[in-house]
Amino acid sequence: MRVKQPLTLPAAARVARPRRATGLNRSLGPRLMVAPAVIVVLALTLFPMLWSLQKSFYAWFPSRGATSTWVGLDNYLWVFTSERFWNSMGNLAFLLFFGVGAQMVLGTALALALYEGVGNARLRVLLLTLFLLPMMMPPIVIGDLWAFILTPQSGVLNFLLRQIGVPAQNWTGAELGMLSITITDVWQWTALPLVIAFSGRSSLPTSIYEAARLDGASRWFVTRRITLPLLKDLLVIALLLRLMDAYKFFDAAYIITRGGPGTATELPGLLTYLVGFKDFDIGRAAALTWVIGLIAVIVMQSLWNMLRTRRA
Amino acid sequence: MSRLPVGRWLVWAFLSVFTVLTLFPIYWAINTSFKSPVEVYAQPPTFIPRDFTTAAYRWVLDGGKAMPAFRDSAIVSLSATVLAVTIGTLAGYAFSRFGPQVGGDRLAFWLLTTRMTPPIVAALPLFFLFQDIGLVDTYQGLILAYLAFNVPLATWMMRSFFNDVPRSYEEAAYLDGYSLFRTFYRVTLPLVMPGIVATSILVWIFSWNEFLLALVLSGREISPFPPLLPTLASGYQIQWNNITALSLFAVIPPVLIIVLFRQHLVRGLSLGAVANR
Repeated sequence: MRVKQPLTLPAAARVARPRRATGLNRSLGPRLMVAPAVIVVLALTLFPMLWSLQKSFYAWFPSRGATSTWVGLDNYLWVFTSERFWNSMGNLAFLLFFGVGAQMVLGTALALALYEGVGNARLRVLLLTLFLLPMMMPPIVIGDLWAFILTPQSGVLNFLLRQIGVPAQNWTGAELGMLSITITDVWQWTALPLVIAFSGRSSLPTSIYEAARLDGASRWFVTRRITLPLLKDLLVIALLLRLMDAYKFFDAAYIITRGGPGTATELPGLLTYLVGFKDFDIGRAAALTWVIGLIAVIVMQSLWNMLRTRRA
Repeated sequence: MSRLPVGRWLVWAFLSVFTVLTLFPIYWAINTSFKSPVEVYAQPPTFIPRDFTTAAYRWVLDGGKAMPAFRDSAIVSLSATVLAVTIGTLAGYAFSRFGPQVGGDRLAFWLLTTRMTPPIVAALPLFFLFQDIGLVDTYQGLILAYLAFNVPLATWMMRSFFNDVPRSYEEAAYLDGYSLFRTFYRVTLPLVMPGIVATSILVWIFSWNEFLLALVLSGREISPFPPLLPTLASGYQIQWNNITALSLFAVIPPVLIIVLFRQHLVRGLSLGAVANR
């Protein structure tokens, strides 16, 4: 930090006054300001985590009575050996790969198409705002709108498909359930990479593009060799944000398939909810929260370190 | 750059298709909300209501379920926003100005980690802990639970807004003998008002839209609108006209906000990666 020395101030005051300000209230003050945030977040995460840790070593079914029995690591063993857990991880991988992948590709393409292809500034802002709408809508609402569109018997999607000669599909069935859920996530979240790429593209200096035009570079060449490399850092951030958010995905899956049929569309968060609040198997649910919580922290920490070393 | 008409047509086709795909579910919700319960299931589906009726909207406005749900949503989301932004502004300032003294990046990052963790991780134990102290199905309980996720977001965002304010004003205030809190309150705070507005908007939208914590921690005494929707959308002969009308009501506030404050949201949604233009 750079302090401009006030020329009119006598030398003595210059020393005395800052010292008063760096006394008690400057060392205690900042800690007081952080305290409420730390206390609130600690109280609402540390206690729950310790509670879960303790319960994860017991078999406890509150619906069958208050007694719980010590089972050691059995609940964790169940998590890592159960087909349901690995199935939910597989579904998550599907969502992350196809869902987030489609969002990144579509979002970037739309941002560049909007910025470079739409000359009229008003139309551009109108379309941008329109594309951002889904992102701000409650995910549970998006879930119910799509649940209705995808209804196998009376849904409008199957009707439209039949009009163009495609047979009706069971969109909430075991084969297509994950795809349906992924579609709703793409519909809602393509806007995030879009808006980040759009902001990034509009802050790139025009001089580069003039130079490229003078050299006779084609539009595709400019996009591939100039625009995308310059946007790379921002797109990486957009990708990370989407990956972390998709990990939490719950709402639309809950309303569209509720994990079913069977376990076909269970995702880690949804699985934990179902084990905890449908099977009332609290020990296993608690073990699950620790496993998926630790995965989140470890992945976050390594991504954070990766970003920091890249920047340094 | 080459001006191939083919390229231009491709760009317009792409944008048009995506516009239609974005608008269709919204159009379909509006269309359905003006139908009768019978016409909702008509085959082939009607693309304009044949028997136009506002029954679904009357169900939302008069019915015993929808309006109380919106009231509960408003109470919980607004209270959570005020508290989270107040706490987050204080902490964000301390992190921005006295980073190393208060735990620095490490603590700030730890706060952020809680935001990235799936909410069920907190919701499961909170349900049982809150049950013991009588906080399940209360406004206080739900507001408190929302703070766990929104305080980190508010702190992180406000830190980035404070980082944009030059320190020279504060240095001048210190030289004039202002205390830390007086400097913060009188000098810095007015300069980050736009940041506080942007942070409040985002925290409010996240609280308004939140589903899982509301599903687990409420439902009988109080019930925000999100957990109400799945209970309406299950079983046979689902009243999609009522559900879509309720959904459209729920969507209006966030949509208005994005139309009015689009520029301010971008930065928050990217956790500070993209600055406002």
